[in-house]
Amino acid sequence: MNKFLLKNRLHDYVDGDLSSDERREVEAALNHHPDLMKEVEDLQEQRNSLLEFGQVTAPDNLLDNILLDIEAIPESANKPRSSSYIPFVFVATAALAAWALIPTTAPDINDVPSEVKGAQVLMPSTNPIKLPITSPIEEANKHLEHLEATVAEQQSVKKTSKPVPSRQTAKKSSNKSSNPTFVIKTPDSPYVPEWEEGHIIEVVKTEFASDAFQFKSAPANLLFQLDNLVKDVGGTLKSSNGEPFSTVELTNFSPRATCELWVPIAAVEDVNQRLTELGGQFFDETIRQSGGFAIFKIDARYKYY
Amino acid sequence: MLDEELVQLLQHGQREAFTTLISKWQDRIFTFCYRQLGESALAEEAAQDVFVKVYTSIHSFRKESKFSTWLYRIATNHCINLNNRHHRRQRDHHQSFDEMHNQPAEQHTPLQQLERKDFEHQLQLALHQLPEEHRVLLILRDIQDCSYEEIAEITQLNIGTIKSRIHRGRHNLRQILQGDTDHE
Repeated sequence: MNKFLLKNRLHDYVDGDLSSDERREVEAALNHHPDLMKEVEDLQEQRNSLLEFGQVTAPDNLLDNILLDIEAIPESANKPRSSSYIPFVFVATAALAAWALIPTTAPDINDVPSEVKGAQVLMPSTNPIKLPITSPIEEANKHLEHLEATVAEQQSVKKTSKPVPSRQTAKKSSNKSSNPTFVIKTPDSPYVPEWEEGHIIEVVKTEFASDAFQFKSAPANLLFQLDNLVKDVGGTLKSSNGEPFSTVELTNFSPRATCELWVPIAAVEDVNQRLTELGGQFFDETIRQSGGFAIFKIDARYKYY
Repeated sequence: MLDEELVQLLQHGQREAFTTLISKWQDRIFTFCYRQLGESALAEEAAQDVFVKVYTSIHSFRKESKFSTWLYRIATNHCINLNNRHHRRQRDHHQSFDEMHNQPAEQHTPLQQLERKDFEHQLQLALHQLPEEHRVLLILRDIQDCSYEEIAEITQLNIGTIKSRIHRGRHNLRQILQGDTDHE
């Protein structure tokens, strides 16, 4: 074995990653190269000392502190994410109530960190599936309209000087305004980069004037969420080339996610609802179907991509 | 009881299983955070955060990898985030390391250094002389004794890259510990 090859195998030798034959070969070669023999000894010594001295003991109170921390966490915080959208409706309702009480101008749409285009038509279908007409968003919107009207009525009675922002005024307001954006966080995930944590799903209120809420953000770990969602209903998540995603692709943050959800026909309504909860937005009411599966095309991208 | 069994119990709402998991892993996670962050108080806080994150995210763990891999991945990401936030503090550390090396020269072989009581402290300072991308891998491999395959899963890097960085990291660490400031 020449010196170059030997040098390349030193770390494998120290790591114990060589077969017994390879070890013997390296040991024989080391006898002819005392400098490399010294290097091996140093590496072994360093590795042993790191293993022996590198470990430290956790402080005695660490366990207690962690337990205290989790005591403060409600039981529901570590429960699996429910497919029900009732909590969402509740939060959205509270969001509009807060908005109605704080007269401000519209937020800058450009501040939204990412946007999602939800299920889109891939191609004209001869057998289209009609998606449900009502959605959780519409239900939420009805609540919000009612609240908005109630607040407006109360304020007109009091003849307050501050006008209640109507949908029209919100729409006309400046982009530089500071209208609050209401953040709904998804369950925490280790795969969400820290800088994304505050921007998981946002409801942008300036869009009240249009049909319903517009969801302009998606979870940073969207692919991971979609994979969970579609597996729950017995479907498959495929990349745009028809192949399944690897674990790495699913768990890494990606600035652009283009994929297809192959969903059993029976689960279309459920998936429609849950996609909307994730920030998806339909562009058409028909979707392609093939072999008993409905195919939702997802196109999500980070704002700056 | 195996980690996977404890995880299953925790996923079914048994908090006691979490206590067992913490007891089992706290030293290793604290060590990892301490070696990564360089400060005991910061490491304690980080380890605490990591376990709380495990608790709140346990339902997103789908057992496609070992629990330990998932746990280290959370710890790795969290420490990298903290390091980014505390980069100024890291620079201060480097200064104190430099000051230490400006003291009268003492020639020590690695073995002699090992015997010194402050080896542990010197190791910490030396680790922080390494680039983060080398340090995290070296900690996982040579201190936490993770296999290259586990490190690949934790860091999402390929094994060739990991080996190459660890080899360079070991080489640089040895030079730093020997007082050779001319490391790469």
